[in-house]
Amino acid sequence: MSAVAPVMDALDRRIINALQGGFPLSDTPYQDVAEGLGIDEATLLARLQRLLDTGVLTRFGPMFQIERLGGRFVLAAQAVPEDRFEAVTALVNAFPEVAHNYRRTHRLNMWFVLATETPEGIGDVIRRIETATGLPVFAFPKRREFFVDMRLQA
Amino acid sequence: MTTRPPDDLDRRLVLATQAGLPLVSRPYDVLAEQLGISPGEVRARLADMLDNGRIRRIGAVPNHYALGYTANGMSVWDVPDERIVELGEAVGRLPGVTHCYERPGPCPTGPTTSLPWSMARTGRAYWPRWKKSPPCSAAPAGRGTCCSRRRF
Repeated sequence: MSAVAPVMDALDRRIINALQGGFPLSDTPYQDVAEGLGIDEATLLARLQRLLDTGVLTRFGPMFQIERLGGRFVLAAQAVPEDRFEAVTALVNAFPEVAHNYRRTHRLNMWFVLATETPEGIGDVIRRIETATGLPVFAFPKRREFFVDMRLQA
Repeated sequence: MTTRPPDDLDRRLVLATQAGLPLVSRPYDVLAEQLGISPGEVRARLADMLDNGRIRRIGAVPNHYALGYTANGMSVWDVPDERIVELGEAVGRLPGVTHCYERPGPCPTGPTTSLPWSMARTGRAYWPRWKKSPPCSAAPAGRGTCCSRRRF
């Protein structure tokens, strides 16, 4: 198997599609899912482990709505000069509060999500990122959520 | 309906499953042992957190690039306040849209009120379609502003 591009077969795809939600809260949930897929539990566990090891899955488990647990997620952006882009990327990604960071084609060319355990933590981390990078951080806190569903057909 | 405030068990469950659910035959038993409660209590609490939305779902998070979703775009729309709910819900229902939020913000390119995020498997971005679709073209000053190139 290539180390660069993970190879998925039809069973991997069926497993990913079956596991994107509704995981049973039973004594033996993997066994229950495996039965539904017509495979045994050991096969399912081994496949899941490999999908995680090869990075096809980034995680398997509960997805928390962190705001309902007191934490905060805020989308933020910076306009980073091209010649400093790599250096600023390293500075920003070094903050443990940075959950994702994408380069996007826009004047605001760096977009990241900040996650903190308390609402007050957001302002603090924004100030520290501004100090570290010497660039303003534009924050876009969420006022309302209309739709969130990252289930993707494999 | 009253919702109880988050408590210590919620927090300990988040920490115990942050890396994921154990890949063993009886994963809730493993968590129960770690947390010093019964497997039944673990399952009941997880069910409660699913009911009150503290857990969105229990499942797999695919790396979208590995699944072949090579394109994703983010667009920002300047939407009048009185139409935000109507348009936010309409955009959220469009195929290919994975997130749609209202985000008031000091956007340097203009006021920002709604922010859908879409993903297209084929490399064809969805946002030009939003532009043509009735909900968005009806939004005065609506415009898509961002498209992604790569992830770090």
